[in-house]
Amino acid sequence: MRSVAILRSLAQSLGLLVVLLVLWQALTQFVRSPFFPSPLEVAKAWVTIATRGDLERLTLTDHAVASIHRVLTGFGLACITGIPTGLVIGLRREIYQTTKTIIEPLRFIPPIAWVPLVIILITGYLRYVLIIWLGAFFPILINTIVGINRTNPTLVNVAKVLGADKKSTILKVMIPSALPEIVAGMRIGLGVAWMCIMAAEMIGGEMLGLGRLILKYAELLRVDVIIAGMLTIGIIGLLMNEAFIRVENYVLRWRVEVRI
Amino acid sequence: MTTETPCIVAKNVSKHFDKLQILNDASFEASEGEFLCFVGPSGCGKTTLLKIVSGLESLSSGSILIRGEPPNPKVQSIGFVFQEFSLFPWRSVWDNVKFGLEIKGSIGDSGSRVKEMIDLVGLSGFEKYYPHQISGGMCKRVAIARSLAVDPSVLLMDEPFGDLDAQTRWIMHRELYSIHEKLRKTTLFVTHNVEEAVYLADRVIVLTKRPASTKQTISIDLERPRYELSEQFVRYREQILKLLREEVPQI
Repeated sequence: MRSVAILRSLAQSLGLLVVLLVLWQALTQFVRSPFFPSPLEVAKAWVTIATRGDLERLTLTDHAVASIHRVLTGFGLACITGIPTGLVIGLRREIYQTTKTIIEPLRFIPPIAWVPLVIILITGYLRYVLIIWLGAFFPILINTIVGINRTNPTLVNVAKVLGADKKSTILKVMIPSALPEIVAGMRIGLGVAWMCIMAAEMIGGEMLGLGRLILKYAELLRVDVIIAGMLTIGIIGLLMNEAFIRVENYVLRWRVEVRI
Repeated sequence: MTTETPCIVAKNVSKHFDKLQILNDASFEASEGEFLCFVGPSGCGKTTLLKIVSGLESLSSGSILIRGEPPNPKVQSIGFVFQEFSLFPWRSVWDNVKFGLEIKGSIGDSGSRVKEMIDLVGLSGFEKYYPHQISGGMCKRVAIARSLAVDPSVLLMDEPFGDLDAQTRWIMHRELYSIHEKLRKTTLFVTHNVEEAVYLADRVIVLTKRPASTKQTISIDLERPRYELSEQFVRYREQILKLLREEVPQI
């Protein structure tokens, strides 16, 4: 019964996609501009870049691998820094009170606003990592703090009345109970990190990366390749998110199941 | 029912949060193995009283001794069944029941103890289920098994069946009674349901409105298992209800 419903919704969304592509294709027949490529031309450009590579013979895979590597590095560092910091701040209210005047304004500065400063202050690979880290750090930090603060006080009392000390209360009650929020923060962080790839590759020096590919072809006014690059970014982001959700659902299988 | 040294002795217990006085000179004793029910108007401080007995709250004045020691969960084993949902949702039934034993560090024979407790509350076969997969009544049983697993010197129950439907509650009364028959744990049971109190208790202590003190103690001299519609049962119920009505502001 359920698989039928899934198949049906899959068929519906595929149908919608086909309709949109057909409309796009039809529209290009009327507009006829070199800056408005048809989906077929975009697909052709995508295949060319994927198989033969770009001007420097770098294939789509090379670009994608470089971008994913950068994003995972920045994201990994954001987890390593964000989760412990969030735990400490979440467990000690007074630290949050004193640090929030710093954290709160900082987290509303978009990563792209950091670009000029990073160009001036930093060189090399660190530029990519820093911009991506900035995007991923705050969602992870904030969710960890919130997760710890939302621990059900009754569960803490259960532990206390059974004689738990501070350490086992934190390890056995507060952290497990914050886990769904922490993981959700990581998922959001990963998404933001991936979306920061463009800003990061605008200023990173190397010729590799999906963002760099788009910029390179922007100078040549090759809209077909630009769109092919954008779509690749979108699809990889989607796949990473899907993979993450699968891991999340497995790790947090004790949760009341809410499927989106 | 007469034992020389009482299990719990509470003398002139008072508690206030800032200016709000919650308890005023509450005194009672519970002998080993006794089942005591506290009834009182809502908001009178029943929960606070239990939390003080458990050591979760401090008292402002007076004294409480459990087997001669002031309440301290780190030293004594105390069982507490909370009013609200209190299972760890990330732990299976088995691991929830095991929780207290992990904390107490008694790893040695914890497996057989957990199994024994799960059997006691009639949940064998459900060991691997997570709380969200079982019913509200079953969750209560897990909570009871968890608090009994540590072999507590007292079992404290704070309106444990308040959120259950009437039918499940009826079943739980019978199960709790038979568990008490088996284990003879000294039990303090807080409720606002008079019928529940008369069904379960050896003695019912009626509390006054806030700040709560002990108003009157009524020994329930009825054979067990009790029958809710028997003449004496109804008489006890009416007697307690009358005492409670005196505490409710007249409208």
